[in-house]
Amino acid sequence: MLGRLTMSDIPYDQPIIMGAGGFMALVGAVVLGAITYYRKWSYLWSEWITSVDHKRIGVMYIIVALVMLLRGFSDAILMRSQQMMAHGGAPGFLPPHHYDQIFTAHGTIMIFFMAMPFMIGLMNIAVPLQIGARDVAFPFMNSLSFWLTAVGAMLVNVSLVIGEFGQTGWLAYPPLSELKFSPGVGVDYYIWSLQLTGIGTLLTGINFFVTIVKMRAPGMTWMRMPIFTWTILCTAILIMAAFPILTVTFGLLSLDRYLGMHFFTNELGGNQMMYVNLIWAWGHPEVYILILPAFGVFSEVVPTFSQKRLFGYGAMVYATVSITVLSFVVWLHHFFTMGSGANVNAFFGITTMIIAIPTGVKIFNWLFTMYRGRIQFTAPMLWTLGFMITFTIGGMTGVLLALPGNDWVLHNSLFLVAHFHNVIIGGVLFGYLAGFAYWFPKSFGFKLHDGWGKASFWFWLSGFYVAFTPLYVLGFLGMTRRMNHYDNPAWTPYLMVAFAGALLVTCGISCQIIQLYVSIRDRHLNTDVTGDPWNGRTLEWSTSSPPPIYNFAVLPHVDALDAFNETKKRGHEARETPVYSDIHMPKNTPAGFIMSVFAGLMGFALIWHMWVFAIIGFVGIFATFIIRSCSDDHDYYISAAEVACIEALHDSRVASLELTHVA
Amino acid sequence: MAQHPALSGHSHETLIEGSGGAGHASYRAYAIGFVLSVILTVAAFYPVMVSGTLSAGWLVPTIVALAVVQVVVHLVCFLHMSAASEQRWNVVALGFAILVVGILIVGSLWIMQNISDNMMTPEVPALAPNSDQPAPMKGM
Repeated sequence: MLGRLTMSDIPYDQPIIMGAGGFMALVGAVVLGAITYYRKWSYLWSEWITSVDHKRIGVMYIIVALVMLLRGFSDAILMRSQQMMAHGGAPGFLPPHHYDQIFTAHGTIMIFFMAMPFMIGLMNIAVPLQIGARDVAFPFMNSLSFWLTAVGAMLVNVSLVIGEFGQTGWLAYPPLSELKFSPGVGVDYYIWSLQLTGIGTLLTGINFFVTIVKMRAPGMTWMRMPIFTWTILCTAILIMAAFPILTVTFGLLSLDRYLGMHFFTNELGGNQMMYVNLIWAWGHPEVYILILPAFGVFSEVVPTFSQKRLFGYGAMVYATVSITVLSFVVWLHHFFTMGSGANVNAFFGITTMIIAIPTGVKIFNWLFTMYRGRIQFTAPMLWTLGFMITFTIGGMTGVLLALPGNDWVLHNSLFLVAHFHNVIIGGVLFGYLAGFAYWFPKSFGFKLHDGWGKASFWFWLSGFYVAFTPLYVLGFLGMTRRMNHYDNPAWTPYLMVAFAGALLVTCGISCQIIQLYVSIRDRHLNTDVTGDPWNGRTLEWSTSSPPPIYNFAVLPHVDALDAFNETKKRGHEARETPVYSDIHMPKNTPAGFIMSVFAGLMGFALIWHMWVFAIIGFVGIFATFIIRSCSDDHDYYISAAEVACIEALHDSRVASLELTHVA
Repeated sequence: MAQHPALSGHSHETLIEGSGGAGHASYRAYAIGFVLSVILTVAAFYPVMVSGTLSAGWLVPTIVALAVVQVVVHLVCFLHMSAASEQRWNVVALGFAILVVGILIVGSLWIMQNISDNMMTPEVPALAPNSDQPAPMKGM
């Protein structure tokens, strides 16, 4: 009944793991207790858990991302301290079995459960508003996507206390990840948590592609779409094309592990190099799935805070589209050293250098947008400036690695680790944090405290350089990645500096937590009355903050790029008395949540070989889906009178707030 | 719930207003697709499971060809693809899918072939280019 699971799978003898698990249990108990004490369960269930509103789902995605950022960052601190201590005779404080789980979990969490949910959260919040839509194309599927991701994240966290996580590195290369060399449940936790979240992501890709293609406001032609929407369209295309590869690759690895097949094993005709090939055929598009939305955020932030239109809109669109296509022909640069020979390596080295060109075009577009603009140095703008410098350096070290000859020397060294953190922190994370600060007032109706945001930026930026510049040096000195222990005393000073950098980043994260606390405490002082706190240019700023459930009382008509800016230029006298009509909206549903709980049960049961529970989970998913499909009760209408009432209520609230502000 | 007059035009499950995209489903198309799929699947399994039906050289090309036909059957009968003009988006999407799948398959074959040429030394006589070589002696 319980399969492989016994009491001995809980690592009682590991004080660090038990401490972390105990802390998580404590936080969880406090949160659950608070919800019960304040009687918020029914509110939480009806307004959030069952919600199909893209704005709510976006907020929940970002909460998951921020929680997992803390988890992944704790792993980073552990690794930095271990490497600082474990040289010569000193073993450090993390045994190899635990250390290997930490670096595997760090990479897996940061990519799949921090960056991806953060990006999907931002696109949920901004895209339907930017294109003047009332929700996404498939609201129920959106809820299902979120809960599958959340359940995947839960599985990763459960692995901390029950059993173990993979010890294979974040991509679980075979033969190490095969049953022969990883007989425990670690790789199974890895596979099933990523399968669940991967399917959630694929559904999101389909959802946003259809939303952008079919649901733009009247008059919004392709070349009038905001750049962020363009980047999300390209990201959705990449997700639809790349994530099936990931699902199939993990599926084949599961067949090896569960049914004794030999796709990637050493013997009986298996070929582990095929796994490396397939996983990077997903993995390289994934890099652009992460960075394109960040480029989109910068393309919104720079014009808004320079108070100019974006320089080279067309060039930006074509650069984005060409990156989308090119991202499918560079994947071999992740395994130049596998031995394909000079012809193959040369081809992929050249395509890698070519893909740097459209990215460079974008940098110049942002610079020329700022040129002679009235730049406001707010927190989102600082993240953008930090990005432009840091990402350019990371891009250049990337071009160094794109030369196969260089790569043979630097492959799997800390130089590589420094490079990809340079582009992921300096590009992806800075971009998402800029977007977080930029769209926060849209989601909640008040601005984040700018001072704490700036403090956080400076700690993150300086911390990043102090932490990762030494890793470039260490890579040249020959230190390879993922070392639990080393004998070269010359490396230790650099690792101490890197640890100091990690402490600076800790200060940055602390500032963000303080910023959230201070901003929520002082929300009445930072209220965004108008819905347009930054003098924005695109449609999301034309509705109130937070927007009503139907987003727009009257769907906007678009006749130019930067539609809202055009409206403002024409002046408010053009505004007629609105004529409301009935609004067609989707109903909330618990089906996505229930299906995901069953999926989580199935995943956990498969990890531990509890076949009965696995079948229950599987049947539960399909039964819920069929029951949902047989019902016609999916939508409702908000009557025109109700819309008028909500709008009037909003107008009177704005009027009273404006009065108190004047007073 | 009571049918709203405006509701008849669009689907219950989606928020997309107006029509377009996929063509209309018919039971006939699903039935034909189902029968064809079963035939094509059996035709692929039969020569693999019953030895002697096809020579080894023809086996793989046959299965690949049957798989491609199966894909076309699914697209036409289940996903209602056609050359009609209102389906431009479907055709663009199909073109992009073919491009990506083509890059993946051709690229993987090219990469894996090169790795095999550069990294693998032939161990079994049948795999060696020159079959005149003597078989390795037992125990060596």
